[in-house]
Amino acid sequence: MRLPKFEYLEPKNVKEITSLLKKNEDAILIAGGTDILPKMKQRIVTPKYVINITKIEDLKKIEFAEKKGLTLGSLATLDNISKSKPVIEKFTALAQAAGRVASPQLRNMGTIGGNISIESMCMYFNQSHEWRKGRPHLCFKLGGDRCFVAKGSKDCLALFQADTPPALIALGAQVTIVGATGKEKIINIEDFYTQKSKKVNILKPTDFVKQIHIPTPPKGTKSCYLKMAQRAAIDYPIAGAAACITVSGGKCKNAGIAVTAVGSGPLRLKEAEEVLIGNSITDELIEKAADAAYEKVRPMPHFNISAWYKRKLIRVLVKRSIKQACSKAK
Amino acid sequence: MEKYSVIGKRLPRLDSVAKVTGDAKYAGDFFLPGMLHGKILRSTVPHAKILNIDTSRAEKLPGVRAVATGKDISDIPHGFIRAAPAPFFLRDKFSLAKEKVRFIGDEIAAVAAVDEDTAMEALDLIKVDYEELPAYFSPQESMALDAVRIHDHAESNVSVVISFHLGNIEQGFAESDFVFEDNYSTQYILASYIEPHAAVADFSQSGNVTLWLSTQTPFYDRTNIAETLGIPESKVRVIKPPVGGGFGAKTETHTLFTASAVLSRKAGRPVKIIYSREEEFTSTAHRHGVTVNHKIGVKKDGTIKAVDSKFFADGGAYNSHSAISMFIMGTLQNGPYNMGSFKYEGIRVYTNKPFAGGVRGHGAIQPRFVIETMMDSISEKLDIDPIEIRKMNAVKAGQTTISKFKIRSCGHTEALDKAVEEIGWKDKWRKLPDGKGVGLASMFFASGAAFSFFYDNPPSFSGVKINAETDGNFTLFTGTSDIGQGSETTLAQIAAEELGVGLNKISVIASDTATTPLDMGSYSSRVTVFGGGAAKIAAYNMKMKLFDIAADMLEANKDDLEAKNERIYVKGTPEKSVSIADTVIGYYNKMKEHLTSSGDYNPPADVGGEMRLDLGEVNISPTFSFGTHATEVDVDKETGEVKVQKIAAAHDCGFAINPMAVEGQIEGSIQMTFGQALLEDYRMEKGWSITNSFIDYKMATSEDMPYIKPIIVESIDSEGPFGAKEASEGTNVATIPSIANAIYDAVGIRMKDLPITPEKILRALEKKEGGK
Repeated sequence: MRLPKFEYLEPKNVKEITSLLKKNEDAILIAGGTDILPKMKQRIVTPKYVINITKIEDLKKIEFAEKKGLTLGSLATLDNISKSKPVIEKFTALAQAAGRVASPQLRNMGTIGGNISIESMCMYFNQSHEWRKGRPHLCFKLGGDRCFVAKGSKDCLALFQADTPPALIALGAQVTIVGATGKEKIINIEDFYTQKSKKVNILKPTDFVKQIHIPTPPKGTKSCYLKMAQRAAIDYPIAGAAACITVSGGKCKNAGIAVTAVGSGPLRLKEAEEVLIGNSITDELIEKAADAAYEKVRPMPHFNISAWYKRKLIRVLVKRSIKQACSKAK
Repeated sequence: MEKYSVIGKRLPRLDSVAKVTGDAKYAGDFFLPGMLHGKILRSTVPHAKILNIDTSRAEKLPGVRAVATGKDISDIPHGFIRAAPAPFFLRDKFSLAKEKVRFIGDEIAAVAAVDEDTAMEALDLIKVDYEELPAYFSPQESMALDAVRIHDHAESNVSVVISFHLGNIEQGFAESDFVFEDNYSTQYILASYIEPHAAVADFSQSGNVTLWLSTQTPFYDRTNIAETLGIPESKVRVIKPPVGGGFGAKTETHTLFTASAVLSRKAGRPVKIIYSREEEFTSTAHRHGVTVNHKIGVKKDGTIKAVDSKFFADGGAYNSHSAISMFIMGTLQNGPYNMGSFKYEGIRVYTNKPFAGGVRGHGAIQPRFVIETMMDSISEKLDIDPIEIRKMNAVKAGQTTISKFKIRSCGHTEALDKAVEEIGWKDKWRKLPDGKGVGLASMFFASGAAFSFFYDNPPSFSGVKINAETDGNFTLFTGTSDIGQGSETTLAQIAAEELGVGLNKISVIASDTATTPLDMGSYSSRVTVFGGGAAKIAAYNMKMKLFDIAADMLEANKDDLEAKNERIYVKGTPEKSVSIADTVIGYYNKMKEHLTSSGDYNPPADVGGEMRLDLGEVNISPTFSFGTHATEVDVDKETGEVKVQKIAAAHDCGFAINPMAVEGQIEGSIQMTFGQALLEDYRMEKGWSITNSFIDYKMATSEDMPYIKPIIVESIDSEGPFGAKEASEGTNVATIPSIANAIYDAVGIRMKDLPITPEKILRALEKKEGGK
């Protein structure tokens, strides 16, 4: 499969990104290209303009200072993040999540900005033009009137499967978005997501992600991301869970728990967090938190993976991620 | 002193540098002046009559040079089985549909244009009017009483039935103390070569066509292309450049091969067609998915008395290897154990899905999963060690089985002992903690089919020619197809050993139907015994011609000569010798002709015979390989995840011409069945292929692979060249049951449905433990 024709643009700085996005309708940004290029080959995306932002060095930074916290330019590669010493030490879940994306080759190309912006996927949608055009009906995602994932569904049920968002949610990250006017907007990463499969994030065509910021976690904080996939590499998770636990004086002071690959976006599990906060963490309590996670999630089936199995996995992965985080936090 | 100087050595393959550096030129790499790009229009309905195909708008599109449909090809369909007495209906596929389409992806039309984009655009302009028919996606649906026929000839949509009865199973079961019966199922899988199909066809003004094809069977393709184009076979030249894997699926003459030639004829320009990965998934040959009912009767002591097996295979829309697939699934149950008495019924059913053909481990993978899993159950019930029950029932060298297989050599017991020792069986089996386990399985496989399925009167089964050069080099011409397994190196090693020269003195010209001798191709693990056999004979004949001359030159008796170190010596008189190069010059001077030799391999008289796939009593192969896999696994009881820690894979290849190549075959083939065991799950929905890329079709990556310990067992066969047998398909036949049996040892559940996914394991565990 070949790429469709497009015009190629190359901004030199952040300002130029905004002006190019404003000037050219029907444009997309490309960084690592690991997600967008296959979609262009499949003619899911056929932009008139492709804006390559990878020449902007400013956006590649991985900076950590105890007071300022961690700042990741949106072009920081997943490989660099997974191998960064401060990220491994202070933001372990993020290093683990970034290190489990796809394969070494794809992590070398793929960026954090791209990973958090990945659209939901579906076996009825992420197919070639030839395949889709032969089908008798269009699904919601293609502007049609139905969803093939579940008969009678009133909405698109494509699955969100990115690895890093649950880790970022658990760690309390914030996203800096630059809008059409050039003005920066900082939001919690949770609010970055719409929880709608048809368009999973709030980015407008003229917006772009500039950077991600995570405050330095308080002492006694540890985190963990666990992923289960069918394959050890080049695979999206069947389910993924991140836990970030702060223990102080023998008690859980704070907890962040989030999961992926269960629905229309990464899901923060406050119910599970609440089980832990204020209590001393025991195996029984962790089981309770895992049960709360199990009760909360309503996964969607995907390919050969049933909702039943995904839900079972969420219980196990939430339990194990809390345990692993706590074993280090104590 | 070592017995051999070139064979038995771990030598890098002749093509390794070219492949590693990217210098090797595959079919898709060929560019010819004025070359056009072709694309295939495929059916978007699973079953329909074609009422009309309107290509007029496509033909008018600027840049389009030719559009072809079923009207542009002859009325001779193709299929893998062509030789008499095969019934006509085994060949049931037209390259471009004539009247009907039978699956989503079935080929309807082909377009050649100045570039790929234009060709794709043209496809959108072809209008096909269908009269849709009811479509069936499982054998059960196809065989329903009110089902319409997918092919007119096939009542109840049964594509082929193979059944046979060896000995007396009624008596066998009557004599049995226990009868075990169970049901199993296996899935469709894709051959998953990395190089997609590619074809470049150049139809010249003189009426000859030359094609560069990514194929395992260039001679079969030549015939199919000639028949499809309605031109003499000798007008078609098929060249097989390096091939990036075939694994059976490239034994088919898939539509791009014929369509590129048809388009080239119409356009008067060369045409290239490369299949997309999606086309590979939707429209090429898959491994048969089967459901099995299997019954084994045994004495208290573990002796097998009777086997009754029924196989239902989902054949997809066309016959392809059909009768052969169903025949092998039955006949290859008659080893490595004596079955006492044996009954088999194999029913292959047409469905509106991509067709099933021959894929590595063809017809052996499915029954072996069943039998070896059942052997494990039986040994447990009878409280007999799983190693012992296999040994006590094992076929032995010198024996003829009830299926009339002549066992010339058999390293099964040695393979079994070595595999279990390597895995640490004694200390692990039933002794590892909950969640950890070991399992074993044995297998056997044919070393090449001793039938000519395709040609009625082939000159031989395999031919090799050798030319001598005055610089002491030899050029070896073979029609065998190196598709990545390294057979060119194997044949060169055999010839070099026989001729007493180094491997670097042999150049191989392989697979060009115009210059290399006819060969059946690379399938049924035939190349080492058949092609290697021919190479040995050709090299011997060359050596004798050289000895004739050297005897004169050295004033010695021909019988006293030996060839080694690139010279011909008088045995016992090392000072009397002449170089091979000088001998070749001597030959020219004396004979005034080119120095060439040829060799043909045909199976011995006690093998093969009339191609009767309806008989169970027929010796199908010159010789058989044996082997055992012993596997250690960890099962995560909370997630159902299986981590295969190690596979000790012992394979009796007779004699390892190149041990490094044999080890490579063992490791590579395990990668393939490891995926079928645990991961690969080709999904369809109402005839639509859903898994169309390797992100969704979970072929194992290097990260997933367990540690594989290849163990070579050499039983020195009396028929194969230098004692060699096959080492390319049998090497993976035991993998799946060895993993399944290890899972049983780990967590006590019998997995009878492939692939064994974590979800299935978790469900089975919950069922076993009464649910949580």
